[in-house]
Amino acid sequence: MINREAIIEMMTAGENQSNEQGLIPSMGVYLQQLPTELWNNYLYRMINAVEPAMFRPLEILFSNAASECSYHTFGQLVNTPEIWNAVKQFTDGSEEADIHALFAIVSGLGMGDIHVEELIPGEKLVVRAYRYYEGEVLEFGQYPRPCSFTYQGAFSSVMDAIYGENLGDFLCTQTKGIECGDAYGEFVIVKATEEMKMERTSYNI
Amino acid sequence: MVKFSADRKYDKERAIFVVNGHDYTNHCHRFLSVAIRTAMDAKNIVNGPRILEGAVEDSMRTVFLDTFRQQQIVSMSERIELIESYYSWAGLGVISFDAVGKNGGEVSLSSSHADEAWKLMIGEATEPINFITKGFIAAAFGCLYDQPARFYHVQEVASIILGSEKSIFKVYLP
Repeated sequence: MINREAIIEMMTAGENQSNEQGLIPSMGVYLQQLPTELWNNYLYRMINAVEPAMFRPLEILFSNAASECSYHTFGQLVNTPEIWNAVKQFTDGSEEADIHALFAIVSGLGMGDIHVEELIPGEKLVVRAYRYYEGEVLEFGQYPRPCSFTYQGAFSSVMDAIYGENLGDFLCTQTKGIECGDAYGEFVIVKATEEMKMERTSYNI
Repeated sequence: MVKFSADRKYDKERAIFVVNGHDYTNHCHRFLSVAIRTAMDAKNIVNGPRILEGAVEDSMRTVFLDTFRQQQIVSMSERIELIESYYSWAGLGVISFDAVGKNGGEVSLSSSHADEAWKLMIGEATEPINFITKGFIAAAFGCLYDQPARFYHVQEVASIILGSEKSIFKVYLP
């Protein structure tokens, strides 16, 4: 369906080159390259600082932010012919292949070893992340529940970008996490019900 | 002129970049802007901006101290050049450590990824938003003067996102 290796090779070849403004233009966006420790410090200090009752609101806040970012960036990739044609040359051209290709791009950005496990076009996506930086934070023990909020939001937006009409048409539930003792992270993305959409907008923190 | 020297490799098995022994990932400007906004949005339940600054300060301290050792950079002027070079290498903009002393000083940005990202993704701002650079500067001063984390405080007193030509940061001791 896709040549995943070739897409990752294309994404990771060469250095990120900053211009005279100290910015890294790439694929229609500005990149920044920073230690994963920085992002994990931020997320997990936020998680550890809030009262248990505020865990879910914080999860929604972070995952909404990630999906908003990724929805625009994935949408831009897919809708920019000079970029997307370069990716499509390594796919069979199907819509299903587009989903697989976007996850190859996610891996090529350095976000982890991430694969599509199950795809029902337009309906459901199950993603497995065998290595991912938000899962690799603890030196001992485990969290009682999955905490990879950035990945949750980013992954749901892939379905939004390919099959949705609007941001938030699909939502993600993380069912497994390395951070909570599982062998891999698992993310289940389904069409959002009205109830799910309400929950996403009902917290006002 | 000393420059940050990056030995950057893609670890295929882990699907992550490794730079001078540290794990790195690429994110786009949109991600950075919403990460900052999330810190601000969460202010009713947690001091998000302060947590973000501290997160940056601690991770950058590790990078700076390791890089000083790896590149065998000893002099103050060369360490400052290296830190300025790193800022641009990371894609964060152009930073200038204009006045540096053990009691603090002043740092400016002529170009800022965070401010540009905010403008492109979110629009206008009513207050400074560059918490990431505040943490970066605090880490730099702490490493330059062999002081612990949170020793130096940083205040953004002029901001590109608020219309200034340059962002200016005051560094001081509490």
